[in-house]
Amino acid sequence: MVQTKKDPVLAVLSLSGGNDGLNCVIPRNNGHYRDARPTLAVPEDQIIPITDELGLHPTMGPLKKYWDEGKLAVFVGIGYPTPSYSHFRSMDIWHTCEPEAIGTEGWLGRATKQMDPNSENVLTAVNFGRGLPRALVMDGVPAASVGNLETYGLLTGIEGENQRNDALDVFGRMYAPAIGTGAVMDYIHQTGTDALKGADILSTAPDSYSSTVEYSTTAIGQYMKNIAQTHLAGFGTRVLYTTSPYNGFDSHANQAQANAGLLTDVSNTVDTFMTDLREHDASEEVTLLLFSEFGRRVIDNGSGTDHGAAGVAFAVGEHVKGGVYGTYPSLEPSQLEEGGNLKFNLDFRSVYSTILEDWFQLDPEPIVNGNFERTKFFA
Amino acid sequence: MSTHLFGLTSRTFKHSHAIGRAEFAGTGFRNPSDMAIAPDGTVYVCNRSYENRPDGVHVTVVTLDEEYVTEFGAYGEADGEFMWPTAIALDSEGNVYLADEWLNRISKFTSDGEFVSKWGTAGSGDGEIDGPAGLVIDADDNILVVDSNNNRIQKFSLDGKYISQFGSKGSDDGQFNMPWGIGLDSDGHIYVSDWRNDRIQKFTADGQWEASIGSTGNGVGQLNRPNGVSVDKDGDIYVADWMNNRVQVFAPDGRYITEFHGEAVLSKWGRDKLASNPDMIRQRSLAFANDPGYEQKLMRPCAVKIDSDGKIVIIDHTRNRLQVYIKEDEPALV
Amino acid sequence: MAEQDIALMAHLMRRAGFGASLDEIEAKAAQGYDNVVQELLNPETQEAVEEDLLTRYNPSYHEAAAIENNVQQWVWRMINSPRQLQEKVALFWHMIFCAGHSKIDSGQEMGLMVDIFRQKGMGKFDDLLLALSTNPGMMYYLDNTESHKTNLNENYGRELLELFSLGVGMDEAFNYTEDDVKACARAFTGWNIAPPYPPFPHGRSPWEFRFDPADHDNQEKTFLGETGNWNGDDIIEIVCKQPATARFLARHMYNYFVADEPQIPAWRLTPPRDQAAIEAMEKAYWDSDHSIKAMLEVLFTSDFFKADAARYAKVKNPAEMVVSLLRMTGEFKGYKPGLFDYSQEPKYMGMDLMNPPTVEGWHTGREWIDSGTLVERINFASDILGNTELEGVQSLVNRLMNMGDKLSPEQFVDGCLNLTGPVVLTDDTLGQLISHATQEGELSHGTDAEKSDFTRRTGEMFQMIAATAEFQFE
Repeated sequence: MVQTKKDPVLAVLSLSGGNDGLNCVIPRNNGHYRDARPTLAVPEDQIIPITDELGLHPTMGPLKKYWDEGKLAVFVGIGYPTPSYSHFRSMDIWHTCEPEAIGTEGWLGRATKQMDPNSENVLTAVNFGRGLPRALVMDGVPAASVGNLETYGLLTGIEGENQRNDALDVFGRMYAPAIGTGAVMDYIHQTGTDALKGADILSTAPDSYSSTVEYSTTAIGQYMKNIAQTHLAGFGTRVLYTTSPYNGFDSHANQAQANAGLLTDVSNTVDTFMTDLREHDASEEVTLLLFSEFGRRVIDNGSGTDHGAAGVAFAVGEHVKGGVYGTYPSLEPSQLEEGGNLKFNLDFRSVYSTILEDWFQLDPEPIVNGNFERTKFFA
Repeated sequence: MSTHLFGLTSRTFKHSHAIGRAEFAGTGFRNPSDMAIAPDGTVYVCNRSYENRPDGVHVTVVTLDEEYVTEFGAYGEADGEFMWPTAIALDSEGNVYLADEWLNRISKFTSDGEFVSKWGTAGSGDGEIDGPAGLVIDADDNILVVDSNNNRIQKFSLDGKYISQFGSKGSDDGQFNMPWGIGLDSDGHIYVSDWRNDRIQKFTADGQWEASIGSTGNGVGQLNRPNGVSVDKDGDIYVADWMNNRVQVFAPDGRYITEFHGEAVLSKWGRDKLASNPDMIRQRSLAFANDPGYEQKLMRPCAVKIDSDGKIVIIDHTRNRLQVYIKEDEPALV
Repeated sequence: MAEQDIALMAHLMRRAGFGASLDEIEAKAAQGYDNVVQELLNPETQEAVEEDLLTRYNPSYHEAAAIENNVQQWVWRMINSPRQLQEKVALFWHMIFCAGHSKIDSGQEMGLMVDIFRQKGMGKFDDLLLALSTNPGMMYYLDNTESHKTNLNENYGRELLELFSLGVGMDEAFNYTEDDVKACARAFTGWNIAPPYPPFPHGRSPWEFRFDPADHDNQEKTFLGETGNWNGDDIIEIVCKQPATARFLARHMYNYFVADEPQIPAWRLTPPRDQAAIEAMEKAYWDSDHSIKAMLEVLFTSDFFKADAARYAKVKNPAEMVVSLLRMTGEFKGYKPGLFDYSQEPKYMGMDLMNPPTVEGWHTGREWIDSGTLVERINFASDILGNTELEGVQSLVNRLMNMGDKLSPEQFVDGCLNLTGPVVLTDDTLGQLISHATQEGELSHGTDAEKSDFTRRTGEMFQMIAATAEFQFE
């Protein structure tokens, strides 16, 4: 159990497409790694060592700082039983904690429901990006999906501030509670009023924000900036979620170049984000989780790698106890799963359970659908 | 006119090999639409990909031995970018010309893929284009553009100066209905795939109609929306019979010779891909035992070109690869 | 043309299609209502999509592997197909016979499944169910591929009865027992898929249905009171002659085409909204030897469909919201780049086409709307409808100008509502729009400056109409 001065907050950056764990947290002196990756193995002298066996990709220098501070948890061999190689299905499994059946409720939707059972705050959970990830889906939980925080709101297409304000006034009146128009109409009026309220509140976040740090102009950088802005605005938001550009990590080809760019962006952005929060004295109550729906094949395909199983994940935060969690899976060919994949040994639901229990102080079992060993990564 | 004589036995062909696999970048192709082959055997393949994968839109440069050379270009409207790449051709110095059917322009690159210039004005007047779908460069280094929505062929200098045109909309001799591919024989005759009329039309170098090959259908010598067309040194005509999923070969006089349905074996890159996905080796072998044709056969072939050695190279669009055939000098012993 | 004829035709086109431009609605109204119903019901009498052009300009649509590509292609067809009811019916079945890409993991299979709904969706119900039961994607989605003579998996057997034909119950009784589920599942053992190609290196092959007699349970089974050595097709025959099947279909059609019914799990205990309407469609089912088209003909020509009470009685589903706006404004007629972004909009509004959340499908009616999806709906609708640069919107502005040299605020609002629906507002909402319009006074369009002001105000009024609660209905 962790004590924070303010209500604990979880930020999530989902690395969409299947991040290649092997080239992210690298078993740097493992001969099998070099055999399996004739095209893509990172030369040993370029790897950033973190333990005797493991090292980070050369582009991940900015994250190493948090490792040295003891605030970076590295999860290796993370996954779930009977892996799915479908982006959609595997991401759904991570979202819903349902590897067998098809789940409809997201783990963070359920967590939000427990934290704010009567939806008193329409901004308890906010997603940045178009469309709500299933992780945040839960009946009765209003989760806003913000495509662009700077311009978020209703009737954003109306040019001219006065015209738009007039239109929003009319909107507010049109959606005022109606009498005698039927249950469905009443419901839509209430929903419209809620939406307007949420948008009004959110739209103040960028105005009240100032910072000396500069986020990268990429989607990852901008959405993480939005997360910082929303957190710093103090709306009482507890879950802040975003996803890197869709399937960007799906490195079937030209992986060396493409992944270096992405990992650079992610590492720089995480550093910028933490620096930003620290500058505002607002990092203490935030944990940032980075994950991907699966890792990739052990053997490269001459130019990239294809969909795999166990991968890596990270948590960063002031209360995170730095270290490697899980056991790095064996790369020995005979030890690979069918398909030439790394075998998982750390269930992602263990990590979720720890976040729910130790960070949010919620009962994890009904949320992750079972009792999973906790991964004690909070200090 | 087409006459169909079975067993015109003076030529024999054999399948040589396949090149490529499905990939949005690097060692593979994604919805390749056309190619040009340099005298040294370097192949420039333009990839059309699709809207939500703009990263797949570029030119891939490979050799016929399946060595990856490089790639260039990207999806977009800026210089050196393209949106609907349909055709690609090389001039005598090895510069690359690429037609964009949506932006109505021709972009020029060096043989290394450096952007040089662009030209093209949308419209229907002389020298204006609407839907450039095919390109070929003649022996005088003039460029012939299949101006598809204007139903004509226009001739330009390499820097885009209008020279001449022929054709109009219709189905009579010398008329077109959304023509697509274009090829030349060694005497300078022009062959046009008259796409929606399901025929190939042959013209003199100055655009006089000489002959038509094919009619609508899927029978011998018939065509269903033909796309690419090329002529080899003997004057034999190769037609990518797009919706019939085959390449047909016609003699110089238009008689049917044979057809290719595709006999691909795994390419080198295809084997690499499977080697890193051992579970799929088993899955593929079960599928292959059930239906070998699915993988071997051509699917929507959209271009056929001849290299300097006479090899016949087909763009197997939907399977994202090239299939290579060889015309044997001597009839094979059977 | 009488206003009520236009309004009725607009209603028909919203329900039996994905709406239409006002020009198109007027042309169809001139053809006469019953003639248009016949055109809709007989798609083969209407021009088909030109497949050669479609794949020339979108070459990747042919055997498209990626799900996004298949969704985009379907949205294109919804916008462009002259056979509007065929596409609308395809969506109807997709929302009942739910299988999703997140498990099937092949965009092509989803595309092929929807094509079955397109081709057989208005035929004999028995044929449609047989096509569904031999559809490899569905067999995989509902685990029939894991159901064996010696190791039964009841999933498909159960869902066929519960969600695809009989429904759990009607008139408070149950329609089948657990023994029927088991017998049904046993009859479908051996209905499987031939080994397909993996995704690499050249893409998955289309899956092929394969019956494996050695894996089929050849013992006698008792199903819904009938005993025999039933195979899957026998089960379908028995299912299709059950009164519950006719009831189930009629209620689904009423719910989709006429007015929102309660959510499906409530059907056993909750009687239909309009018992007579359901009975009329049931009768058509029996009189026509199970023809879906015959049921739809009764529906579209009935008074319960044409009635004022049925207008704007349904919450638009996200596909309807997106496609009807694109059709109304003339966007993406024909071939041009840029459809992908629009084709993702239904997903942002909570309807991930070809990927329903579960086999039970989407919750419809008011459940389409929450504070997140409402923002998406309103912003999309107002952005499109308020974009006076679009050809279709420009034509609406011109029509409005043609109403007179000067328009009072009331005339202006009334004209805007007529042109975009006609949309019917509550008095409160109407009052708000009129009072908003009154702030800037009368409209005229004599000078260029007035024209541009007129256009701006029309665009804004369209945006506000698109933002009303009423616009969420169709």
